[in-house]
Amino acid sequence: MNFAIAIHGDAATSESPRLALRFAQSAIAKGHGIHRVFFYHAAVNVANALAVQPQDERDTAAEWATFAAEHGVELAVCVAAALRRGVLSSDDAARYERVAASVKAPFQIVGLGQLIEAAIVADRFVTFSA
Amino acid sequence: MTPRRFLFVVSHAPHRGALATELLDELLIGAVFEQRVSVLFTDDGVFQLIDNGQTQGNAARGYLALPTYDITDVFVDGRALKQRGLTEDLLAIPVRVLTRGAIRKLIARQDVVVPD
Repeated sequence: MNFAIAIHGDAATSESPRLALRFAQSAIAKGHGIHRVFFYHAAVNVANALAVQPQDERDTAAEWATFAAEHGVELAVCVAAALRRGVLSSDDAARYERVAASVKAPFQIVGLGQLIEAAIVADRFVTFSA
Repeated sequence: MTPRRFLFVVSHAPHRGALATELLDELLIGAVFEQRVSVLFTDDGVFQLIDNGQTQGNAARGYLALPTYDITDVFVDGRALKQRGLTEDLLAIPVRVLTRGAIRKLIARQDVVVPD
């Protein structure tokens, strides 16, 4: 089965990015596919490259990045939600004259249409609310 | 490809930052993608349909756009209204008030359910 996943909460105030990661890891382990993971609402903060986690705490963003690299899963971040929260691609940083880009690789800033597209294409669309 | 049935479920009160605006964006894009979009307001989400007369931070004004996008399936959880002392005539847009049983059937008919 091919899943699309939406995440609504950030790692600092919600368990949803971590729960979604566990779900995605389990799905892959059971032989399923992940069409796309979409970070929306406060979840765009997971893609903030400027965030620093204490050494004795889990780094959910790094774990998502590793997971995506290992399994070729696309990590998509909503551009409108990301602009509001200061998660910017280099193009956005230039366009809005901000001091720096701040999106962490391999997260990609995309339009909200990519969320709807994922929900249309995937067999199941699973949301992890904040 | 046959359009999918999308149900967006609004259960949070307005005035929670960008949450209401971002959900509205999401369901309008669902309509732009020519999917069969419907919306259900439940729990404190029913407050999003109260027009407070303000021009900013007014979720209800955003939902006035729904017919423009051919979204006419707007449902409200009748129990949620009653629990909050609200009635249908106070809501900013035309809705269909559903019982819990009808809501279960509504959800069962969907391809995709998106909570806020």
